[in-house]
Amino acid sequence: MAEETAFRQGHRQRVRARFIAEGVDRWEDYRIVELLLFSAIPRRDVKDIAHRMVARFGDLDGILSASPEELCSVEGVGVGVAELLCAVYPAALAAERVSSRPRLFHAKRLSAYLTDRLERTGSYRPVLLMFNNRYELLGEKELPANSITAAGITVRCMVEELLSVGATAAVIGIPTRREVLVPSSEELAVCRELAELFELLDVSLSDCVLVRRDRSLFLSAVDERFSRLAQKKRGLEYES
Amino acid sequence: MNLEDMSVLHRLMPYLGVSEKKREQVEEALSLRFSCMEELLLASRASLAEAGISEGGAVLLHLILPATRAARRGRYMRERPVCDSAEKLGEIFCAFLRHLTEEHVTVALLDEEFRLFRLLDVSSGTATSAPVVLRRLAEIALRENAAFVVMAHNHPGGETKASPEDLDTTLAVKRCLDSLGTPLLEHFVVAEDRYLPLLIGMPSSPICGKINPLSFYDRSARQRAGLEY
Repeated sequence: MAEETAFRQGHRQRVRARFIAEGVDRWEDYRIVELLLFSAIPRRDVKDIAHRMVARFGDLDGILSASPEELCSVEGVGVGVAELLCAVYPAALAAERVSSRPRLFHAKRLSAYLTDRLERTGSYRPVLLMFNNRYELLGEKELPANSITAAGITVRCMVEELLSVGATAAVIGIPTRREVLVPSSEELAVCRELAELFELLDVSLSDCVLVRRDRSLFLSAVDERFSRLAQKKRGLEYES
Repeated sequence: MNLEDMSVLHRLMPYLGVSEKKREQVEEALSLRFSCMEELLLASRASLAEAGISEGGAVLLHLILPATRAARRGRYMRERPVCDSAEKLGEIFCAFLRHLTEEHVTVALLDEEFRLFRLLDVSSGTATSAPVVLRRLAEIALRENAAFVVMAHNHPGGETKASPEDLDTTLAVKRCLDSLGTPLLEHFVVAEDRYLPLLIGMPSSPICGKINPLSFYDRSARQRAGLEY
């Protein structure tokens, strides 16, 4: 009995690992149902139930569209299983509504966000903005120094933040009081290095922005080398 | 999260590997931590674990959107909807591609009656590019005996604007498939719930400006425009 349970746990681990590695695009419907059932039936073989459900409802869509009563008419399916399967489509539909996170894919919008932020917080510390690949802002991290070139800025803390929120793109805002809005050579060197490093981690440093209360400057517009690094992937929209 | 999201989350909570004692607390933490359902369903395993979700629970959350996608594909195969307008196909592609966080190239194969009989992924890339393999596209179209092919790819960045590469690819695929007798009718760029048909707007396309995009696949419109495929 203990061996059987261990085998089942091993099977579940393998199926889950396979899902994580390859997704379900090439899976047959019963496999997807089996993986769903793992969450509702903790300690039983569920493959037979999955097969019975596919036979009864035709395919995965038939199963996910069925009523709880219809689902419960299949041998081995209880209220818990039915409730889970009936929650899948509503969850997907809820996810299809437009996200409430700010989307800053356009340079103008990003620039406005950074100048507003400077106005709001009054903080002149550089800030790391972290995005998913829809350019929705996942979070922001104020860096613990007054300049991007200061010794207190550690690459490690930035990378930790980016990875922990699952970011695929980043922008660094560099608030400044300087009258002439031009980046220093040290700032450009740091930004280029960061772009190269982030690229290795599959995070695109889309741009770095010098921000003053009245205007901002995108470093990709003034430094061709940084621009090449930042624009390797499709990134921000710059046109009006 | 809004009330609707929280209600769905409440239904999912018993299956996320959280003990009954802590369930209410974790549910509240999740609703505060994630601004919407999409964010929760696409969250990293690390952030779900931090919020108190078990490994199995994270797998369940990550499975919901792919399972929905697979189920919708099955529904299209079963129902074989008539796709006689760009609008219908655009909506199908939107439903199919919108949540993917990497670029995917998908093809819809239509029969002579413009019924959609296969919806297949041709390639997937990183977050920002998907290599289009012409040979694979041609293989699929010929193997499945498609009368017409429509392709689409998603821009996870959220903008439908086509890149020069998108336009070049569209022309190359069109040239190739047209010469094989399985014409490419359209290439959509999908971003969230919006889509952009590329072929209809290309200046070099023989059909550019001749017909209304929304009746693109309508036979009578094609006959009026004198177009043969």
